[in-house]
Amino acid sequence: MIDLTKANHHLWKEIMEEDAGDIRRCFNCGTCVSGCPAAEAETPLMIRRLVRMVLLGLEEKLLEDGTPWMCVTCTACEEMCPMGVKPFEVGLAIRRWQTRKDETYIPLSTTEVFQTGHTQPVEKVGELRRSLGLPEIPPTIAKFTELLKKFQAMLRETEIVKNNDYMFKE
Amino acid sequence: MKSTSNETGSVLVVGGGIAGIQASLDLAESGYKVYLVEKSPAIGGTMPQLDKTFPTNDCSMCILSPKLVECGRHLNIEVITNAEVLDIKGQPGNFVVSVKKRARYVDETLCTGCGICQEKCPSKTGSEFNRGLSQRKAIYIPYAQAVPNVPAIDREICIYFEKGKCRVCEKLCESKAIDFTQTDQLLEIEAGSVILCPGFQEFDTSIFTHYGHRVFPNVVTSIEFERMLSPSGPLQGHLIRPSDQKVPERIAWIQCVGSRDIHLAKNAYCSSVCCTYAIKEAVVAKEHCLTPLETTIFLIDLRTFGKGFERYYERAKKDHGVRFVRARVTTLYQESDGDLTLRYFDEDRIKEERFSMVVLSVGLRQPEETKALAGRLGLKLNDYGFCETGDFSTVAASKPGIFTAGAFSGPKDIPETVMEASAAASEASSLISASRHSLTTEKQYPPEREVTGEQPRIGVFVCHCGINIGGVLNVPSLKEYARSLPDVVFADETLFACSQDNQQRIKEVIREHRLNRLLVAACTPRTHEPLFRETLREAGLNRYIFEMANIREHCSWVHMNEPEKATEKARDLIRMAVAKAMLIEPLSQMSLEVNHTALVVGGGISGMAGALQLAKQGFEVHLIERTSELGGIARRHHHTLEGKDVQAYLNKLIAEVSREPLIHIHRETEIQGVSGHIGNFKTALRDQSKGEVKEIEHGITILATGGDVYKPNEYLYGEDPRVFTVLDLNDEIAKGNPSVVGSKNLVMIQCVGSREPERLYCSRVCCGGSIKTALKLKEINPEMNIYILYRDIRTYGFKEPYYQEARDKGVTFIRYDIEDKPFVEAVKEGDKDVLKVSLKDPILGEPVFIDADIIGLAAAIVPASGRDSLAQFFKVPLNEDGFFLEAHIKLRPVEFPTEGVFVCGLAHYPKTIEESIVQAQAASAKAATILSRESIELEGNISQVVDENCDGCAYCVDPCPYKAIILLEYMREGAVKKTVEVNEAACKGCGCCQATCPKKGIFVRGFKLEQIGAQVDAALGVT
Repeated sequence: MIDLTKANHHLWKEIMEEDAGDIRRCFNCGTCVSGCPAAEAETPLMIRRLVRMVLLGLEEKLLEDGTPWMCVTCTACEEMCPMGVKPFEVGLAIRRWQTRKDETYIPLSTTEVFQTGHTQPVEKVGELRRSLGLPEIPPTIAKFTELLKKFQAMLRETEIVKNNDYMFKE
Repeated sequence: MKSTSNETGSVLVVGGGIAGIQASLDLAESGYKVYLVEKSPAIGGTMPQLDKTFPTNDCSMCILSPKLVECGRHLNIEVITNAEVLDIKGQPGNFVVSVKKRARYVDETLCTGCGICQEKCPSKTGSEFNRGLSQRKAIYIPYAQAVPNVPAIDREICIYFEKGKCRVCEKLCESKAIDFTQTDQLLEIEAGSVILCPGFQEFDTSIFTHYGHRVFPNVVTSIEFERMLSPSGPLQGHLIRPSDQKVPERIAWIQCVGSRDIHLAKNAYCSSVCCTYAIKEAVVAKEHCLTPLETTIFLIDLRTFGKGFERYYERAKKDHGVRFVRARVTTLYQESDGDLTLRYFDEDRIKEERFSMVVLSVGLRQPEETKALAGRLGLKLNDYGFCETGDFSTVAASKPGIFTAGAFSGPKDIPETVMEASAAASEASSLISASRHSLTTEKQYPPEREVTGEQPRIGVFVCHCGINIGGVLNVPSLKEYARSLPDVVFADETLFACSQDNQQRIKEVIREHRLNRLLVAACTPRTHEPLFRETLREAGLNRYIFEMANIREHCSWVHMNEPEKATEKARDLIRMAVAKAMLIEPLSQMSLEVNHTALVVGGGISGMAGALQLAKQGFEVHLIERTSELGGIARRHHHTLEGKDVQAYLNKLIAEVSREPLIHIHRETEIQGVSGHIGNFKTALRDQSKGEVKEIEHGITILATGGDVYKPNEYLYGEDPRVFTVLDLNDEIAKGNPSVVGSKNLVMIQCVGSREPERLYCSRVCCGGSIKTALKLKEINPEMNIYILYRDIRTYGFKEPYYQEARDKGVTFIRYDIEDKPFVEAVKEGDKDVLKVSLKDPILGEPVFIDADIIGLAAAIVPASGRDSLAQFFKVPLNEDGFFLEAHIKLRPVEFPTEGVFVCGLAHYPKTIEESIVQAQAASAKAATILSRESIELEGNISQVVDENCDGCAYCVDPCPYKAIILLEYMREGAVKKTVEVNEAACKGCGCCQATCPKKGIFVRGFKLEQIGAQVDAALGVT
């Protein structure tokens, strides 16, 4: 049971400070998810749920949620939202908020990028790709060992990898 | 009643849709000359394009057609088509309107409507009427029953205008009606007031590229779909999809296309009508397909807030299997076979589903040309481009003397449009009431030809009714059959027997063949008998020598799958009607003087607004109120959602009513008994404070008895002092009750007592009402956490932006299902007593709870007590929910089957204050059409006593529902003779007396035993 009375009723403001637009206009129509490619990701991004969590002030739940990182930043949701909510911006704002809220926060996508060049697991589409005569795993920089090494060396220069190198295995 | 006033006794009506038609008819019937200006070549507007109408599924064209024809042939209505208003000069009461009438190039007086010009014209374009689904020619009649039924030439595509030669139409026209010398004309028309009803346009889908309208052939708009369903449309009602002419198996409707979209469509409002029309289309489409059809409606909130709509929705779900999915769809793509795959988010996951067709439920908007018209006339438009209207008068435009009706001032459905039209007629005429009858002429009928004693000469018209009849029955064979029957001297078939040109033809045939009986085998006499009777009168015959055989409702519609047997049955029906027609006789009608006083029952806003409107038109009014105070339930409302001050308006209205010398207010008064009928009622009023009874006489009655608030027995109401109704909550807020305005967490629960099995209607005003209360609380205490628990938010029309404002201000909305209602319990949370409200949040799919300090219940509106006895007194029906039931939910929203009695306000159905005022004005407009007459003619089909057969057994006295029969004794040949007498003014010709009489002592004229017997014999083949 979620106690709405004890929720953080100012959470939306914290997010708004992250430049997420008029998030409170949302009337839960589901348009954002209808056109979202990440809604079919291995861990599906349900951007409407995230907006709802923000509006109801469910801080803990939102902090634990890894799906904002599944967004592929196509902005389809933003184009179609009838209320001009900019769900895409909300997603990005949540990412920033999560990392700022918890300094030890390492989003899954960063370790994925480091290892495979993908921001998220892609095994789900393997079979479909094979049936179309494509390699099961979409090729990235990881295909070229030399380049991958250079790429990882570059990433090691970033704060997040530098400070948490135990998370980033080659 | 001729007047010497300076005001012009005429009204100019702009726009010939149902609003303009209704306003014109009301005005013309109450003594004003009307100019009806229509921009297209024919009047009719949107209604002729629709297939069926919700919630009764009446055929739209069929219910409109009699009004169209009446409007077209009314002596005091001048229909000016192909015309637009350029400018209005002068003052209210004396306007001069400049109208540009574009050349038609066809002489309306010479054209016979034969259609040869249309047939042979070589130039084509997409038909506007069929929304491009079929072609029309450069010379064209927009639709089959068009009024006037005369073609017009479209200069833009006419080859003669383009290249200087062709004129094929002119060469072929036998009546020499084509006239290329016609030029555009500028008319200056004098009018006392003006009513604008230019209608609406649907949203332009071109901005919504993602829906693929006009790219994917099987994506159509709702209005295109109406044309596909319509029997008179390009598919003749046989539903097939555009890409491959296959019968669709699965159709999806996408709601809110262009509505409730401030981003792409830039429209903050709700179009009000799309939810219910989508339900209608889904149900009707199933009827149009012989193979099973699955229908799915994708929606945000389902808004069936009108009278009868909630039941319609429930029936669609339960009886017709229409599926409703709460998801807005924006992603669709076309498959190789033409199917469309829709991708949508359903509760917790993405789904993809394939459909044969997709219908876009496009909303209503104002086109640039009406905005330009408003600009030329200096009228204000609101934020959404619709006509701005007065605070509590939604038919008054921003300039005095100019009124509006229908969708020009906001999206609305047909009944509301019809009410506004009557209200606008009432307002427009009250301005010039001193000039009533100054410009009108009485219709002169030719003298009635005496036909009694003549050998019957029956003329038969068999109607195709488009394909309604002709698509099932073999009409040519029926015509041949009719011709073979005895005494039938003429028989023919016709596409639409009710069209205006056909009335002309009937008159000619009557003259030519010296007919003395007319039989129309078509639809129901209930809607169309008056039309044909009028035609008989115009032909110089008694209106009662007319008979109808209903081969549509009783035959083609119900036996559509068995055409041969149905045709056989139609032959039976026609033979029976002919058998009766041989025996029908001319009947005379009694005329009664009209008492010009009105009785208005109920002293709330509706009653007072109605009374005032009638007084302004010069009629005396008795206004009765059972409590000691005027004002009704409005006394408990402080502000409207839009922020208008209700109490200030109410006090002004009470002062006006009290000051008006023509209004007699009777407080603490109830009705004790009623006798009489239209034109002459006698009502006994009992003054409760004095205990006195007095009788008043009046010509009409308006029932404005109001409504009440449902007293909840759910959610701890009445048990816990922290649970209020929202109405009570508003009082507490007005009083500044600190425990309410200072509460930290406040919950409002919607649909308490509404949309339940025992009260299956939406109370219409509660969503807006709770949002109003929430906004007020946020204004006082912005930090308050407010939760509104709802089933569907129904902020229709321009109320939608307030829903948006409430969300903007942080009000939290949580939806619940009827199967899983919120649970409320009083508990101790730590050291605090709270009301714990638990429910499931459907977005997260998880249970949530709120520790509320205060709860407000949006309780249903129920009809006021005492309605049963009033219904009996005035012989008017109530619906299953106890609201008064009007004569026709679509086109007669303030009338009853019992003439001379009208209804308005909450007694009819829950509605806002503004809507109540409109309905009150509409009721007074209808009342004025009776009160303004010196006399009225009674129906001829009523009971008649055969004194020599009657032995005074009095069997017939009690069964008479109208108390029209009394027992008499008189002296005859020295002995007492008992007999009965019929009060002709009270008798409705129902026939109960005839059915109970054992002695053939009483009969109903036009339904004599021998006439009915002849029909029975004909049915059985006994001759």
